[in-house]
Amino acid sequence: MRKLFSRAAKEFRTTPGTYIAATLIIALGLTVFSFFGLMYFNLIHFTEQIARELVLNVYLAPKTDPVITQKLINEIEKNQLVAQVSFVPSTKVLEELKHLFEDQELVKDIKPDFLPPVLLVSFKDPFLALNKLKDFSEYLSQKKGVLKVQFAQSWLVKLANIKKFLEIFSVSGLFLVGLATIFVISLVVRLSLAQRQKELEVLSLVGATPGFIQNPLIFLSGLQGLLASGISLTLVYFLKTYLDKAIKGFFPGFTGSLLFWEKWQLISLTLGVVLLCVTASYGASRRYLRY
Amino acid sequence: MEDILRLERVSKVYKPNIRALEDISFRVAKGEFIFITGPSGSGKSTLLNLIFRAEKPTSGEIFFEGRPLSSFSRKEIPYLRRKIGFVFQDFKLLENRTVFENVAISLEIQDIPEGEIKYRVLKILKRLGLEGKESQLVRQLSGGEKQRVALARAVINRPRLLLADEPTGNLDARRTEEVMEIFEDLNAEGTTIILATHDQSLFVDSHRRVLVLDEGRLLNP
Ligand SMILES: Nc1ncnc2c1ncn2[C@@H]1O[C@H](COP(=O)(O)OP(=O)(O)O)[C@@H](O)[C@H]1O
Ligand SMILES: [Mg+2]
Repeated sequence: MRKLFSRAAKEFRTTPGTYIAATLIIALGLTVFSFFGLMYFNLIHFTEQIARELVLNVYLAPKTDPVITQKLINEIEKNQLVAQVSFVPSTKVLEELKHLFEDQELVKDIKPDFLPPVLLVSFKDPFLALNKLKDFSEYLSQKKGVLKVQFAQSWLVKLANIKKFLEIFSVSGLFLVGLATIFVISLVVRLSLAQRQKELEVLSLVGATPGFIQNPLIFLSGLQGLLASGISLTLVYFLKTYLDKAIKGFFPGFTGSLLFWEKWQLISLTLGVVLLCVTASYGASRRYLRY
Repeated sequence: MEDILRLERVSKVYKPNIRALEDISFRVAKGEFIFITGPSGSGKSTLLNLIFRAEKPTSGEIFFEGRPLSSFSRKEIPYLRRKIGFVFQDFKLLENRTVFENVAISLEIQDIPEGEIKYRVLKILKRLGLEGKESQLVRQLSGGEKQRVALARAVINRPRLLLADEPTGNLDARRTEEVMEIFEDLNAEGTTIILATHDQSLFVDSHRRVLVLDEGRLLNP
């Protein structure tokens, strides 16, 4: 093992410029890939988040019997699509109204008894429930004590379309960027070895074993992949934190920060890159050996 | 005497249909010094490449020290090559490395300590008249010097069999004589030598066995 390190170090010293340049090119390709991937996923996540905030408003008749209200709540909660039901009593509605109007004179005389209390119903996956949502709201409007059911169907449809578009866009976009990245990485590894073609041939002809020749090269390529992943993911992380600050308060529905790659995604991306570098280097160097 | 090398009905066909060697059989005894001659394109280099296992025969079998070459695995071939020295016609030297590095490469690939490598490389360079040239880059050398560097790299491992492909092709008469003397010395020390050349003057006065190739066929088996 120590011998491998020292031979790899020696190998690195023969063409340090090539190794560093190749690592940076790989890192650049990976940065582009992981940044775009991250942005696509965030956009999809964002549309979902907005959609979730579009809730169903069930207006109840003022002074509805609490028993009937509770029964209604129970029934709605039983529906599998529903994530949460919250009850907003008339007094709370009045407070909101007072909040809305600057001129307190206007709302001074309104009695809460005249205001309809509201049930706010949110759904687990509003896109999935989109068709059923319409039936459900129609069904609810027939119920005793219900004045009116309101939900932003047209908005949900638009958001669903945006999400579908983003998904197609991100799958094909990521596929292309991923393909380009794979191509760039294997090409860079290949080219940096092509420089050494003569040397690899000579080594194999004077009696070096395939392992002796290839192990340091493969080790260095793996290291390149690891370093490049580290560089690019750090870069993307900083970009993300910068964007978090930059877009703060842009969208009213958007509260939290952008999503970052999860741990398993980071690990599998890094492993994938290391594996790619290693196989590219193995394949390319093997071609120059003469056994 | 025991054979170091035996060829049995060896043929080599290159794509699409170039018959480089056809039905070659001969034996080489341990300690022999033989010449392979024939016009350009008659198959001399191909024959040496097959013996070195740089290429595989299309048919037939080659035995080195009794063992068929076809039985050597990819991992065993390096150990075969450490027993066979090869002076390539085009040298196959690393032009941007020093003379020392080019010769030392044969030893570095084995587990030989640095001190010993240095001692042995300098010794062989001295013997081949390359003393003082060890830190020069190979690309700055003359053809004759490169020839001797290639020879130094081939013999530093003390191979049992030495293959030389046109080792005097780049040399003037005086240098040729010097190099041939080195071959004679190596042979006297016990190295078996197969030397391919189109230059008849190298062997006309010698008592050595000469194999003559013509269009891939052996004229005097
Ligand atoms: N790698 C190769 N591919 C195709 N043909 C080859 C190859 N090497 C040699 N030949 C052909 O085989 C024949 C013998 O070549 P070679 O062994 O180099 O002859 P010599 O060394 O006697 O000049 C020639 O016709 C040559 O063109
Ligand atoms: Mg030739």
